[in-house]
Amino acid sequence: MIKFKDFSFYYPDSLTPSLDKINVRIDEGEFLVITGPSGGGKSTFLRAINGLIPNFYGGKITGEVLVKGKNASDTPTNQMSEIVGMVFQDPENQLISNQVEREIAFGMENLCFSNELMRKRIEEALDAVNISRLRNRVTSELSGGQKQKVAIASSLATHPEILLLDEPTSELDPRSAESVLNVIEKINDELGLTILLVEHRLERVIHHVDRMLMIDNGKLIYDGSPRKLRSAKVENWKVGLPPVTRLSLHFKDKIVNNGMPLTVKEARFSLRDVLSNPKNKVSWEKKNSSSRVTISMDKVFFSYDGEKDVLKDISFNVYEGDMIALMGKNASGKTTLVKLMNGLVKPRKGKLLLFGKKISDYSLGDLIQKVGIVFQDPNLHLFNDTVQEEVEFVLRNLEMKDELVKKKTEDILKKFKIHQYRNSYPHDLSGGERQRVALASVLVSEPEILILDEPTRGMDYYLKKELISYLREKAKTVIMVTHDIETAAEFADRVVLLSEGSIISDGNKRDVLSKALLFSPQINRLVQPYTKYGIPEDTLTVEEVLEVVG
Amino acid sequence: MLELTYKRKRSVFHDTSPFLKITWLSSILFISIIFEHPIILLVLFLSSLFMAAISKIFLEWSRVMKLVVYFIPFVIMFNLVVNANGETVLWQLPFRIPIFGILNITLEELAFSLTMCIRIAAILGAFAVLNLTTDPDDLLRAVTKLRLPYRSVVVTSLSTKFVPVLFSDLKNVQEAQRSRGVDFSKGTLKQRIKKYGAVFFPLLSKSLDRSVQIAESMESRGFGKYEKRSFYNDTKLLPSEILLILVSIAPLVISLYMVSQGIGVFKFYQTIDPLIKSNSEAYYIITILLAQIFLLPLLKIKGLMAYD
Repeated sequence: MIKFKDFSFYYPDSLTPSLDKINVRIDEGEFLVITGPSGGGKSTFLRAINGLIPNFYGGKITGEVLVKGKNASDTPTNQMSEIVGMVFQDPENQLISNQVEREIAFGMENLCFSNELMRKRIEEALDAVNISRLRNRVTSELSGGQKQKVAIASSLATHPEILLLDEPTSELDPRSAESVLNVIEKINDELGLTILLVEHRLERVIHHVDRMLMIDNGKLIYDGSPRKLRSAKVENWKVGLPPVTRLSLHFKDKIVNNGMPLTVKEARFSLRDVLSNPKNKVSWEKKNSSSRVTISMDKVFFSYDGEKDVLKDISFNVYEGDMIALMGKNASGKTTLVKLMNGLVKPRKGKLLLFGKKISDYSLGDLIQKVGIVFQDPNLHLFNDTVQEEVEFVLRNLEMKDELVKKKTEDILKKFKIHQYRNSYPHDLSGGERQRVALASVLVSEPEILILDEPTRGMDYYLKKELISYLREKAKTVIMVTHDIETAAEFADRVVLLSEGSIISDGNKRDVLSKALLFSPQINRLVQPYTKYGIPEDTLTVEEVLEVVG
Repeated sequence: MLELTYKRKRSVFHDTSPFLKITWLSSILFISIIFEHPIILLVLFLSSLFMAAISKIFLEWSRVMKLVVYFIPFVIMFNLVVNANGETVLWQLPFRIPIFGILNITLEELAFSLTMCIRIAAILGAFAVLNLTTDPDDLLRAVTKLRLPYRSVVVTSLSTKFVPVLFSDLKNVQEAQRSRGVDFSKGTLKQRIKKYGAVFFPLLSKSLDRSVQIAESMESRGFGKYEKRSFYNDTKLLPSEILLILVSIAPLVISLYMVSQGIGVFKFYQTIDPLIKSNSEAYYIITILLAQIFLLPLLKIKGLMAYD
């Protein structure tokens, strides 16, 4: 079905290949997950299959990619569209029409399908993705998960034989992501489509796939069943394997069955001997907040339109030294809540104090030294010609002396390992590097409280680890908005759960995340049957289990 | 906030053919350009107003119309300076302005300015009705049928769809920059220009990223594979719609006839013409009025028949 023969690709003006001598063969009906660190070449790999690379992006290729016997590099993408469908990362930027049925028809209209055939295919596509009820809805009013399902349905309608999905769930909350992935699995299962899915968060998909490809630095590092991971040198990988698989790799010789466990259920069985014989008796310390209040909210309400309240009756305090993970479904009010904290929006009702003073009493200069906020999209922050100027910018706004500006900038560039790029244009850097520049450009003013809005979205495991260890080491008080339960379990001391504008749970991470139905980490679910052997029921991370079982 | 984008609703004008909407708008647009007659322009303005009312978009439409009120002083000022005509002086400027001399405000200038404002209101009102009641996709289909190249039409339609997205990006960039201490109200001119760069460049980069992603998505779905494309739910014009289209262009046909006969010409200078100069002019104006108004009950009847 798909054959890469010694395929290499160089983006225009690049001297290093983004894909380097790839040789791989994919058969009809296979379900593959493609993973690897940010900027490693996963998306480029997908785009080589439908000819977007090199036809859309330009650049130089050697070798070839054959898709059903057609040379994809010589065939314009719009000609490949009958064989290959593609769904992209951002649901916002791939829907063309205003209405769901028309959106699904868009591809078929381009291919001059008759009206009768389009009607039939729309029915089938709506049904396959289980969104018949949305057929007459306006696309801009759909949730992110619904939009992704519409994008999948519109790819399916032209009956492609191959479906490419480039991180389709990275913008979604866990529940929406789960439901989109179920649809993808069903399409592979029932319609027999060949599916190639790029994904960072493997725990959601790894157990469904037939094969896993790992691409790092443009090279194909692993090609095989995820169950055979024990033979690979996974220790050097920069991807986040599911926590249960990561744990199992430490005991690969003791695993009784033939394959690596990929789900909680499988790991409970495979690691039975290990987990029922813990070597050390431990109980986890629950870190309490300090007594110094930094932000206090009392019965705060907020509404954008003056009618429907986005935040309702919010009362809580942020204490000095708190490491808070703010979690909840999409549109639960998380981002609005953090915007209130640095005065970007003002409460409709209620009392909000920052270090005992109203936010309106602070000058902008003073305010940004109290609360720094880094938005999810680093591109919103970056506009200067060099990384160094970007970081200096805040300090110059604070009218700091030149010598001090230089010193502080130098220090933070080194801390964030971006000193070597100080003279580079920020937009030329990779996603992870840009994120670090954005972070440095806010942290350089040393705010008392640091707010991060979805900082790990699209970040690979390796970068997440680095960010967490930096925050734990250097930042004073941090509030991190995140969907990523595993990140929250590793980073936070305190977890606040929001639902439909109200706080539904607020407490120590061990109390909030343990045994929670929707928001508990894999490891916590894994250890529950073994608590009777002495594993604490509030164990949350791989490292903690290792400490217990020795 | 000014909302000029389409919102899905049900009304007789929302549900009607985009061709009819285009002919109705074109008719108003051309007649407003042909005539300077205050009564005819007022009839056209009222036509948009009634259409907004039966389309259940009066509130949004009236917000757009408020803009015209802001225009009035500018139109008057402009006319005062460039069009120093008219015999009936209402007020004289007590000082001399270099180059322009002593300026008089005349009744004729004032009448002309107000008539121009009605003209702007009529045109803007009709465009607002079209924008607020028509799905850009429908408009795209109709315009493509008029043999305009569909690739250009899709791009135009997409750009209107992304205007609200652009505003939301702008807000996000401003918030991000404010969080870095960018205070747009402070600093020298050079510093302020630099600060606006802090909004402009991220916005530009975001928009470019967005357009690349949309282009990728369109390419992947076969856009541009063939010279022509088919249309989903491509219904043919109903006889009742053809009749309505004829009614909607009837005022334009009458207007063109009037111009060919020299009827309906209205002069403001040096003295204002009487509003109605002859019986035949009155009859023609009444015919335009009736043709414009006739469309409304016809639409209502068609709507009732469709809903039944």
